[in-house]
Amino acid sequence: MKTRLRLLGCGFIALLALPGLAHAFGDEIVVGFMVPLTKKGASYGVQSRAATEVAVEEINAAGGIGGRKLTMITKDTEGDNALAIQLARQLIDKDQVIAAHGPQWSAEAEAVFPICERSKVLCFSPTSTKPGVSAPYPWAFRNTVDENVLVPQTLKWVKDNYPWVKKAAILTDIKDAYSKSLGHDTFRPKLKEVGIEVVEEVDYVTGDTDFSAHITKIKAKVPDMIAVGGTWVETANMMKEAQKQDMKVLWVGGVGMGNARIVENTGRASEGAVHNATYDKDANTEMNQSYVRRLLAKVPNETPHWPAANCYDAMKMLAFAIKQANIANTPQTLEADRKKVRDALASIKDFPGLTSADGKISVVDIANGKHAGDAIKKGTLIQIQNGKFTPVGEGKAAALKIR
Amino acid sequence: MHAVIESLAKVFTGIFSLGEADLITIGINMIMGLSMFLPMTVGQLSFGQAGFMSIGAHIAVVLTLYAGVWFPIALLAGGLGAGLIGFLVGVPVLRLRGLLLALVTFAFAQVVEVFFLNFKPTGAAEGIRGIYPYTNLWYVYGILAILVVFLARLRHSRTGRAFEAVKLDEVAAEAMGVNVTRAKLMAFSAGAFVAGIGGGLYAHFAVFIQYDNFDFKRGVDIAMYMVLGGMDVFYGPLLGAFIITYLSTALQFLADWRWEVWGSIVILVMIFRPQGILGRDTLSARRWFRRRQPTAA
Repeated sequence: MKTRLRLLGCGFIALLALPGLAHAFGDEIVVGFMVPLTKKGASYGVQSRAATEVAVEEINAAGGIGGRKLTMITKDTEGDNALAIQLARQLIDKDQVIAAHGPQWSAEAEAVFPICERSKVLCFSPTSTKPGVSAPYPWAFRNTVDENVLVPQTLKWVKDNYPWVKKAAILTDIKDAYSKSLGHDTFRPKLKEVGIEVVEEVDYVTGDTDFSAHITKIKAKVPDMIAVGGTWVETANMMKEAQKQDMKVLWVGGVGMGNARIVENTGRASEGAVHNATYDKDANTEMNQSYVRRLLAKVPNETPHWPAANCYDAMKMLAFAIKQANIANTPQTLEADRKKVRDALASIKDFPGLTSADGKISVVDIANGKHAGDAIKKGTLIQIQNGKFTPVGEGKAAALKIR
Repeated sequence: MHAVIESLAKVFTGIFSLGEADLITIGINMIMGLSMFLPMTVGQLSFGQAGFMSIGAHIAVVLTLYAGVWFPIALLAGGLGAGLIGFLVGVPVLRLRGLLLALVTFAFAQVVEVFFLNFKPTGAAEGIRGIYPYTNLWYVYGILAILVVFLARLRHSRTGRAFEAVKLDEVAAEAMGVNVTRAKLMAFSAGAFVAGIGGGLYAHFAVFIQYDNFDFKRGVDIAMYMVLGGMDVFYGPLLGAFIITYLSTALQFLADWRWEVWGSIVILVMIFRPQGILGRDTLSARRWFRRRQPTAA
């Protein structure tokens, strides 16, 4: 017994004596990446990680950042705020990253952004969509557009192409912060602005599958269109229910509607539905084709989705910012380097990316005299025509016979 | 091979380089583990601790953020609020035992979650942001130390022995003159109080809370601290909370395999130590240092 204990002790001390991995400055630039890979959000996170890895590989294949190798330290946040805080602090204090890519969820961003602010490290969330999350923190940025910019484009198009749309109903997912603000704070006032009357508002919660009561209530008011503040999963179920009740209506959604599986789940019920997307997975550009090819080599059974594309773009933008910042990359200059990277990212204009209809992404540092931290992108209006996501320009609207 | 050894070594050496955020999270989880342990001292398995945590967190945040109350007072108020709700819930619920109690407390946590989802003054689905990060190591480990002293003293006090009697056999305890209902209610409300304090600390550490920070998954995590660490002694949940919280960051290098490794550890513990890692006599000096006696006598 005693001998065994002694051996164990020796082994333990030997383990302690092993040199830990020292962080390499100089020829290696280290960036942190926070993404949920297990538990909440894993279904998005796995593809997002693959997309980010594609970006890093491409950057290194093209000679790295000014000859230096880009290394990414991936941390799994499990979609948990407290864990995200721990991991952010580890990335900032222990791994001494030059900047952090992430976190993905708005709730995590709410918890992590204050830490970035206090530690003076750039945090660049690729997918957080809840309005105003980055606004209080000048070191926080997001590679997403405010729905307040996209929705008016959508509604204007609807007005122009379907002049018979006079009355609208709004369905809002109140359990999800993004969906709730889309339904209540964006659709409600913007519909009024373009002169469409809101005749009914119904709330639901994430995970609802039976919408018979909701649709019955809406049907009684005979609206011409339904605006959905929610994501595609529940929207698909609503569409099926509306079809069952023989209710013909134009469906309008936000970025959250952008998943091609909505058509698979609904069949004809989703015909004519319109939403505004920043990423078009079928875009026929060379950049997108090569991205999709490389992504699918890593995750063969998935359909490319917008959060992953946002992650890819964010990594490219971050690398570009680091290059522009012209950093010394030594432990002594870390603080100054982080500041330079932040300022470089804040001044990005017309960056060539996947997730903008015109291929240009700009970062808004200051808006109306205050920090905003969001991106400016051009949305593509997508209408489901004959069961396909079809980008629609002027005059290509489907002939809908609703009224 | 070398890389594997190096990674394993890092899991151990990492213990000596824990940052402040890690230590605070570990401390808060230890407090939550103790809040789970308190009802267990009378044999009550409660899955509602996440709900009490939520109540404590929201009360404390509202007080510091909107009323400018001094943080320790807000913490205490959060704890008392949660304890009061625990008391009110406890009166009808503690008639139930075992699995039924677990189910009811679980349902209670759901009720709290949905309440804060719809409660406008605390931001409903959007949550509350802008919370000042008052929580520091002193608060967390100070409160933890008080709790540990309390629980260590409780073990050999009259109340502690009464709790123990209720846990082992309710009928026998009642026959001996122990007020079973009172003992159960005390332990359950005390657990809720501690969970409320833990919630207040969490909120002022995470600086942002919303209803689903305190969901069913957190309830299960809290239960795991106790089940893994040991449910017979108060230092069991402490070890459990430390291991689980620490490994969730230390095993990050395993990436997708983390939960497989983690699950295997839990299965092994449950096979070899069904009562948890720390049992009643694991840390007893007599057990480890006595001379081996020949067993045949």
